[in-house]
Amino acid sequence: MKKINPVLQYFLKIISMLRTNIRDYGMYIALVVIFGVFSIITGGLFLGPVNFTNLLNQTAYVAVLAVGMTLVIVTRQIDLSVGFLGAFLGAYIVVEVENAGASVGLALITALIITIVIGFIKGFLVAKVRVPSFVVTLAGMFIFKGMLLLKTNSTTIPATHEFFRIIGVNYLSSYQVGPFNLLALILGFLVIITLAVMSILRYRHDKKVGIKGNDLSMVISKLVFLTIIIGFITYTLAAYRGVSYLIFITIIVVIVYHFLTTKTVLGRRIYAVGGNPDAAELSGISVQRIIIFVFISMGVLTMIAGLMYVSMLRTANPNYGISWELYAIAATYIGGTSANGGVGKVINSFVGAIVIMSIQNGMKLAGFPSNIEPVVLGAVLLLAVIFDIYTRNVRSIDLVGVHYAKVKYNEEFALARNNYLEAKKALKVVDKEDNLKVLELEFELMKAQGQYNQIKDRIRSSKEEEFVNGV
Amino acid sequence: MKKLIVLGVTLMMALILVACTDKQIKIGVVLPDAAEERWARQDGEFLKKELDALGAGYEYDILFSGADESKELQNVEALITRGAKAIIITTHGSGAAAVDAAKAAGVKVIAHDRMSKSDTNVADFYTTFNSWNVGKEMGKHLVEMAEANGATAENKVDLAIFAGRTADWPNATYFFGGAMEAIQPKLAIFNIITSNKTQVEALAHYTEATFNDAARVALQAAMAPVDTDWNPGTATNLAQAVTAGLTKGSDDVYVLAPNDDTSAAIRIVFGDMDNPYERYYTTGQDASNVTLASLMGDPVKGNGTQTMTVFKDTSKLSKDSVKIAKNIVDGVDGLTGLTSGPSIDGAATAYTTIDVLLASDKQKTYDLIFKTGYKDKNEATFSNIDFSQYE
Repeated sequence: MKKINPVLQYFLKIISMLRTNIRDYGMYIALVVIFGVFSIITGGLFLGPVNFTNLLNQTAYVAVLAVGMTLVIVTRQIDLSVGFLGAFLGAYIVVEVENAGASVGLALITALIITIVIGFIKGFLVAKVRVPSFVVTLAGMFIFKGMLLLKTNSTTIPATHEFFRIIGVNYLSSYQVGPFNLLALILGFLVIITLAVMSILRYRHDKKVGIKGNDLSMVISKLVFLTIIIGFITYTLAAYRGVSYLIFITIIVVIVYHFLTTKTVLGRRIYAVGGNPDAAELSGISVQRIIIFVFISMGVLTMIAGLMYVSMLRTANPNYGISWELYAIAATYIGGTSANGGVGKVINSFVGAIVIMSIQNGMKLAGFPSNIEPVVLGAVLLLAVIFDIYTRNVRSIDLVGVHYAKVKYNEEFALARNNYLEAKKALKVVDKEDNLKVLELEFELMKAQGQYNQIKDRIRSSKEEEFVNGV
Repeated sequence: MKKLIVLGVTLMMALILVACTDKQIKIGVVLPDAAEERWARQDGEFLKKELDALGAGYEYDILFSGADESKELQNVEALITRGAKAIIITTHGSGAAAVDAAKAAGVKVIAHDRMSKSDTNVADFYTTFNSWNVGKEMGKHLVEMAEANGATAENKVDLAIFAGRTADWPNATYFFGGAMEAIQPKLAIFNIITSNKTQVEALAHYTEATFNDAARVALQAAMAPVDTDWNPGTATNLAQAVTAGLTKGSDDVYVLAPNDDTSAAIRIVFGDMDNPYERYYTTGQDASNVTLASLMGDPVKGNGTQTMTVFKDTSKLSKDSVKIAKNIVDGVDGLTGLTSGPSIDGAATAYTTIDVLLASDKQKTYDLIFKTGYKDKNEATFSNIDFSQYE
């Protein structure tokens, strides 16, 4: 068989990959669109170093909450209490340090103990007592709001300790090389190298054990694409002040949770519990323990988010915490986490958080009236979920194979199509009174249509290797 | 045995609860949210104090609505059921349902610092600080400072304009309108750096007397892009949007901030700029702790420097509201013994006086705030300030 043009083959492969994995890439496409639109409206300011850094800093607390929320939703639960719990824990740390004179370490440890205990109670009530998590955490929402008011005594409290300044305002290192922050450049470079090494190792491993579908040209394309993205982020951050502690903490949290969910037994168990709790229980996993763990982990991340927020604004305020949980849940859904449990990626929720905060940030930057913002946010959330549902059952496609198949079955296809069209035409012109003839022709049409669909389907599901290796 | 004890305790608590809620009252108070310092610690406390002073024959109860309008309606209904003759209410939103319910029951409504009205009904009385004048004082401060620093039409200075929650009608719009009354004639000396530049420059000169629907539409169009929602988090994001692409037009900047909490958030962002302004002038209102620390000369606990705030002595306001309620219970005209303002939306209005506090006059701040006991100087937020020089 005639070899396909390599350039065409390459593009066909890329399109096949995108079409097959549209569910994973959809959100990135949305992000690119949002970034593009705001960049044009704001004359490039949106992706400029200052605003892009601001955007990531503003995203930090939502992203950390969204990471925890992913696990909660994956296990078919929900946590509505994280907004006020986070604001309460933030206020707790500030009040202890500023007004009660406690050391930062002591305040952090007591806050951590508090949040672990609260997480345990939530998980215990949900898993053992079997109170629906919606109810448990709704109650928690009211309780923590009250505790926030009590702790702040309904006043704004300044967070003046150096520790808050470091977390909320400072950047890892301010060493500059020319106009660029050195540390940001090094970190970006390291990330790219790590990714490159990892994907090459992965490719070699896959090849050795014989896993198909990991084409070298695709591996390299992905890598080039990622390098451009990370290179851009690195450049943008380095051109301003580098990596802030807020961004750094967020990245650490995302990496730790990505590792936890994809590479550990615990992670696999969490997904097993979410996918089918009964089957998980039968296979020896303690569903109750997993759910308690998930709520404790949510609590710890909530504390980190609360600390980030009070540090960023350098005050504790009784008004904080409103809608945090809703942003986190929205980010998780935009990131493709399924409300039916068992499906969802930590990294995607992180990107979902960036989508949400991009809309907020971009609309403020462009000077849109504030009342339009929630409308756009809601529309994006809805679109994301609809998109997710529509792409849930996408069949994989190999356009190179399709291309070969089209060549190979060209004549058969043309014949089948012709037969089908002929039969359709014949049915149209036939005398409608002649019932027997009509019946006969209808049968002919059905047969022709069946053959036509069969050949279409065969072409649609062809794989490259059937032709390259087989012929 | 254990169960019996639990049962007993529960019963007792239920009884106490019933005893509490069944108490007949003459005056009811509904405040929007215990989460805001303003309602929990200022108005709530002062109203309680004034009402306590009235003594027997003026029984009362204070309820909070938790920023929820349906809870607000429940509160009003509960107070009516318990025999309230007058209800002092600060609504969370428009208060339509609350005022309709009260009117239907023939109970007089005193709108406390926030108008409450529906399509058909409006509160009988409205006690407020003159919001328009609050804004005017803010605008005046910025104009005065700019002119004192030599700003002219040839030598413009940067001006950032932020607004309160547009939906908080009429307060936020009145603050903004008042500020614009002072700033608009001097707009030539300012270079607006916020995203509402076009809308602000298109504004006509409105005064409280010439304020009408067209003015409301124009002012709110200028407020919408810089709506802080009264929320420090939103204010931070808005201010970051301003500083992200900013080319400084002058060494000093003038910032119209709608209240103290947002003012603090905004000045933190301006302070974090790569090359911050040399001089920073900003407004506020409410006299919050952080702002007072700043005004008294502590930029650390004050989160930077605020140069001015409008102090609305809510004890005076609360006194007026309670006075009206007492008049109603006594059966005399509600405004007896009060300064009446122009009728707003058809409600008889009593204006309470406002005070301007400046960073340049610490003695006045001390006298009005700390000497009177309005705030406790021993609070942790004031720990860096040496009060001895003012005593």
